[in-house]
Amino acid sequence: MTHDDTSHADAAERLQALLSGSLSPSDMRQVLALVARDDGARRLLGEMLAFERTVRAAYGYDRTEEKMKDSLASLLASLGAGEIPPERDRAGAARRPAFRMRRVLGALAASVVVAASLYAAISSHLQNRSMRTPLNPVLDSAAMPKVTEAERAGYSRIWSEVAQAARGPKPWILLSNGGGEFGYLPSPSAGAAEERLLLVRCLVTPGDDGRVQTINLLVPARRNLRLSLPEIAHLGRRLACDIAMYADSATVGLTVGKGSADAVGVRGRVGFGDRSVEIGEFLLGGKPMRIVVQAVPLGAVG
Amino acid sequence: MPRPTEQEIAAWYPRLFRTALRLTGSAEDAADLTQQAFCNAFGRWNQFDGAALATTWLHRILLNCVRDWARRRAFRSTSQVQEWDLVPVTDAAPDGRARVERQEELAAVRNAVEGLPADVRSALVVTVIDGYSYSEAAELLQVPVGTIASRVHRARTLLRAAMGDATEEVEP
Repeated sequence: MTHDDTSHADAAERLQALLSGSLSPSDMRQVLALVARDDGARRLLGEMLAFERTVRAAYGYDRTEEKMKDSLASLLASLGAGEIPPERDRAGAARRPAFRMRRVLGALAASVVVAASLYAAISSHLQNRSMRTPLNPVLDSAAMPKVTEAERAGYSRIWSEVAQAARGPKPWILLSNGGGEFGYLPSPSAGAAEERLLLVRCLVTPGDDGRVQTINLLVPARRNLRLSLPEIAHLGRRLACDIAMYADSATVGLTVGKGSADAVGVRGRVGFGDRSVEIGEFLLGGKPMRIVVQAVPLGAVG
Repeated sequence: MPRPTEQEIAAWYPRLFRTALRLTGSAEDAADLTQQAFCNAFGRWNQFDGAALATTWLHRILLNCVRDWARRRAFRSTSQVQEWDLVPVTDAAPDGRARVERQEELAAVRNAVEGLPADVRSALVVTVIDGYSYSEAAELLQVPVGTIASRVHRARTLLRAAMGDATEEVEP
């Protein structure tokens, strides 16, 4: 094997461990963070998933997923009810067992939630000292470049591939400055339909090095979702982001610093669509930081 | 070893189910046999010493269940169930909307898989179809992890060539 073959095989081994579900939550988070930030790993994962789908479909195994989930649910329900006998000696005895059928997969999916820092309310974490939020938000800030069709397709593909690898819980994905971060959302509550994937884009200008920073967050639009991310960028100090989602808009808060003594931040509401909103600015190291946000629907959540 | 948690069972179950599925070709039978294998394993969990991975230990138990099932049904009376057999699903409703071209494509994939060298094919079966990790596959096939990696890589390359897939190989 050449060096390239070896590195390809190493990446494939890690991704296969991810697909097999044999990783610990912390290892899984690491691999998915790699997938979120590394284009090569993402393309390889996409190829592996497509290859897996094709080969399984060739033998008709793709049509049995529901049956598999039902039989797993049946087994788990019988375990919960203490109905499993010590040992069975006849396959026929297991056919259509009288186990109570309970849908526990949703609870299981929720139980593997890792990484996402979710809080019941965001407002208590936002410190408003030194905040300047404009009374009339500036719409269509010229600083925010329009999201192109190619970018929309690219972001949708990234989210879709990571979501397929996660196989159950819906992920959020943070992409900024060549880096990536990833976490899961809890299962949606009843009535909280996820119809759209959302690109929440924050533009911070100037950044700590004088350059504009763009932070992209991919997250399913879900009413009443509260998402708190402790570090979406570093402006000399950590920049935290809190999002509260509504039917057709979201409140986005950005905070620099920790605790009531030194935290500064801004917060504002942005409607879903192509329009960007300048939600405010704050001084950091004597320099004004302008914050522009946008929440662009990318299409249906797969 | 402590009995597995629900999360562990839920993580392991799909791999075992798919193994049963490809050996029986029936989702109903695969569900029954996978449940039976888990029940048998729970009944003798104190015999599991952790020397092997739990999934590969369960795989052995499942294989015994499948062989018993095949004997009772006089299934394949002239030949034993082989660990890496691949039986197409027969009892799932065929997709009436599927196009002829798609069926031809899938037939080409099956032909390509059947044409792989035995060691390459078994590595493909245990990882891509059953869904085991390379470490688990190495334990099941009793070869080093690196050998699994190279065989799966070779399987992909050969299948891509055999199917005339225009998709370029991805380099990470």
